[in-house]
Amino acid sequence: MAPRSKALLAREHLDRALPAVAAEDHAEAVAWLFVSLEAAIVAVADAHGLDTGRSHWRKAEVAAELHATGVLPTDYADTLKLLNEARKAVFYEGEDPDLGGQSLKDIASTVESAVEQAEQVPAR
Amino acid sequence: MRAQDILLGLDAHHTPEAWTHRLQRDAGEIARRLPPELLELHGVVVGRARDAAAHALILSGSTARSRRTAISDLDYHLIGPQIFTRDLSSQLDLHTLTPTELDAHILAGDDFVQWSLRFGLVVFDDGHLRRAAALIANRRPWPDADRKRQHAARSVNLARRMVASGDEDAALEQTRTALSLAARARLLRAGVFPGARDELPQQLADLGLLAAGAALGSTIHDNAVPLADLALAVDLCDVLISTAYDAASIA
Repeated sequence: MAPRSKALLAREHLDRALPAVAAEDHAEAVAWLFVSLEAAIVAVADAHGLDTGRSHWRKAEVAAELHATGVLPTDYADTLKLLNEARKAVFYEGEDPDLGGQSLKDIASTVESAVEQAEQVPAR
Repeated sequence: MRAQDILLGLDAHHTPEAWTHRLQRDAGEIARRLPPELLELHGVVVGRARDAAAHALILSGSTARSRRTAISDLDYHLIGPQIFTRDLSSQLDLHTLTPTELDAHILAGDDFVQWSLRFGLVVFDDGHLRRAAALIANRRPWPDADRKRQHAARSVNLARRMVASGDEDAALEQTRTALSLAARARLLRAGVFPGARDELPQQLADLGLLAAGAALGSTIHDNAVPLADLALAVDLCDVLISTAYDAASIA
């Protein structure tokens, strides 16, 4: 079975997140929103020949670079950082995540816009 | 690292003279262990912490142990007020506690803050860290293995679903997280203080848990791991968690 494209995976992860967003299930929501956004950034980066490496911070750097070079209209680096820290708070420390004053719905909207961007680029 | 060895190390450090010696030693180690590309970031963090009149700063995590990998962050524990970091590299992972929270976390069995005090490198300290080290040496609170096991179980559940999602990158990351947490729970239950993430595979092997150690090592160092192998690794998490209940009688 051929591996699914990153854009498709990003959409599927977002679909998993949305019920948790609606239910205010922070742990489930941040976990799936995070991997959705990472997959979306990787899809766009791959299409532009940028290596995202294995680390979360490299993906955030690439997200900022994609915005700075005009590829993406939004800088998703801060949202990636926020979701990564929220995810670690929940799963490493068992704490409530700090969403920086944003609602889960606002963050999900940001992630959805990235997924839409990823769906517009041809997969390599 | 057996519990008694670690506690003896803290015993030796909490007198004023010994603490001063540790600060001098740690300053030299920080200079040796920080990769050149992170020196500037480190300098900015230290500068902002001092400007904010923070009580103390500890360089923590894999950098402090000279065990950085391709996926390592740059971790610190800051005792004092929050400082602005949003403009800094995403490599930075800063954990901020008030002095009251520092003591409370130690006594509540939080392993991360104890890790920083035991293995971290002190950048500066106005006395709060020395008192916290003395608290550990005197009260000898052992990190809560049950709490870590509960965190691990939640993470394993998510790892299993990430593997099923077919996203190899997400599955690899979450399986590594789950294995790391399960390993820490298992080691704590066995009376072994877990080291940095890259030290866990050997610590598991030392307990005879070779398959789990190898699986964790693979998730740390391999660029890609087949989903079928990750599924097996998630099953090994279950083994670690289940034996973390009664490991004291096994180890």
